[in-house]
Amino acid sequence: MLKKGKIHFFTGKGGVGKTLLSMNFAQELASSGHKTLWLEFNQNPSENKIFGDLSFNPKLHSEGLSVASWNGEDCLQEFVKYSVKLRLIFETFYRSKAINALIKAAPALREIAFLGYLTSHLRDVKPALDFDQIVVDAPSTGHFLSCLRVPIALLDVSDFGPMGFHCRGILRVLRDSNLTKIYNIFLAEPLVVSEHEFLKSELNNSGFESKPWFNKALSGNLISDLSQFESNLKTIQQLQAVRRQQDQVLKGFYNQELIMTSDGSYEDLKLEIHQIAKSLA
Amino acid sequence: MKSSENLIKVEFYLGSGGVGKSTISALNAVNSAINGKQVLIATFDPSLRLKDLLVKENGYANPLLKQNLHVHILDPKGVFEELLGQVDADTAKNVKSNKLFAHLIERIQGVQEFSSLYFLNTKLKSQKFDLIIIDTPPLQNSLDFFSSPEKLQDLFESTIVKLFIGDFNKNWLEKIFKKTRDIAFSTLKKLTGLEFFEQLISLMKALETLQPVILETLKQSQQILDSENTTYKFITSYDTARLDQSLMQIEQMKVKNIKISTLIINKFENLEERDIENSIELAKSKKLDVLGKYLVYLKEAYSERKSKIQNIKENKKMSTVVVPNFLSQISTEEDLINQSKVMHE
Repeated sequence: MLKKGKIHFFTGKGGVGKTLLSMNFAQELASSGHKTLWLEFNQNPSENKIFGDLSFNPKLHSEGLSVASWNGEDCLQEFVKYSVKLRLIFETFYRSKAINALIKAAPALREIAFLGYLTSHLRDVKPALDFDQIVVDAPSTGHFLSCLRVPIALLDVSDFGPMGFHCRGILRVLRDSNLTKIYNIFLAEPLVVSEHEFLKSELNNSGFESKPWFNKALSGNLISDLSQFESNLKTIQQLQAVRRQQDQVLKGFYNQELIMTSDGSYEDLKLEIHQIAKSLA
Repeated sequence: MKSSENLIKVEFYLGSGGVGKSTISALNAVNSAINGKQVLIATFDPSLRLKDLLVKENGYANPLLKQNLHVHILDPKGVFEELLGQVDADTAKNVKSNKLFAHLIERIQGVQEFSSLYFLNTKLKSQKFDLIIIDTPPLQNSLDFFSSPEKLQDLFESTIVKLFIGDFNKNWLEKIFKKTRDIAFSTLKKLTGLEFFEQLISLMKALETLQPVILETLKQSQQILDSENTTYKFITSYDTARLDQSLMQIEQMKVKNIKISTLIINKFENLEERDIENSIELAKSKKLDVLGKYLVYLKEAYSERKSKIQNIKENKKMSTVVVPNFLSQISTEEDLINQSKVMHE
């Protein structure tokens, strides 16, 4: 039977807070009872110690939450291991110098293996993951786009056979907004906003829906406090300037459904994400 | 203003994505151009706004920029197509008609990095510039910039490419190898389908012909990377997580003998502790709790960052430059020039 569930991608320009947001989001999903997997893709696992040492095989981090660090080679190996029933053939495959060179070199093989494994349970394709919710700390704008476009490009190379079958299935899942959520995160900075818009339209052109997520915003309550007075203090003036910039940016999102998290302490962020995760799971 | 080849300075700008690498390197290029140097800047896929500012069809309004600033947007596919001009026409045609090449050449590991080195090599030969600035491709870890060409080099090692096409029948060892390879290949063929597999093998074979020119480029690049005229600048943004991450990467580079001469801290906010404290008092007196709480958070965050920067200045043997967080966006050529001056004050 086809498992139900969702995949949540956190992407956007570098430095917008993808990692922190995705981690908190995953923790929220887990604590509200979903069997959740948080994973980072193509990162140097040693750079991120918040969830401890990460490996390809999901490790239980806390109740309901498993964490992992994936790259394309590992996903491909998992797929080959499953598909090739005979251990001897599997070992021969990976012992072959030619294959190792080919895997390193082949454009797209690693990405398609990643997307394939990630969507396995939603396509009823084995080896299948066993999670209700998967949260991906995805690469930033350009890398994310080119990764999602790999199955589209491969369909053009090879429409038939296993490759065509997998690519079509992967695209069906990624383009179904009930199964896949892509959060395009941005801040109130002009360069970040223009990259956000670029990503949004490119995703759209390739047939993927995304949701805008405004991070490090000044909260509504903070703004109402700020608007009660004028001051010569530099800190206050700077906050006023940030506020003006935020207003400017928000004008561009008028009438759009916007997910918002505000700048501030970690505890406040957790509260906000608690609300957001409830509505998106 | 031409210089001899060994006087051409090369600057690499490194740093994680989102720290403002393209903007900072562009501002440095603008500043040198305003100061009369012939500057060439090569950048990958800059944000649209920056691209609009830097790439002017009709030239810049400012005469110094018009005369001295040269911008090149790096395009890996273009580089490979240029390389194909150096091989025989049939091979070139084969590669170009390969669907994997057409769609996915940029996804071969190391191709982007190779492209910037290839570009640098050709431009150093032309001797037209005083300074060449390379804005490195976006990578998770800047250290990858230096190892990616090696990965590419591995691919083109003749032995590996031969593995695909060799007809191994000479002795028993070769026969075993061939058997292993054939089992592996037929497994892959089964998994991916014949069509994909054939495209892949034909791409690999065709790329083999580029091997000599690629290896030659990499060899020359090594000399440039080691040259005294080459400097490395590292850009970080002013938040706790990025500062930590940057310092770790700089240490990793040091181990590989890549010395960062300058650490550029972008989006720097200079707030006096006293001023934040006064603001907290003000918020308290006006009973604005939300603002008060936020300011306390700000104060803690700033003092943490400040002590980190202090630490860097004391312990690391590199100069540090702080770049203010320009709230005013750079949207005209004039902004670009003004901000480049601010950076150098």
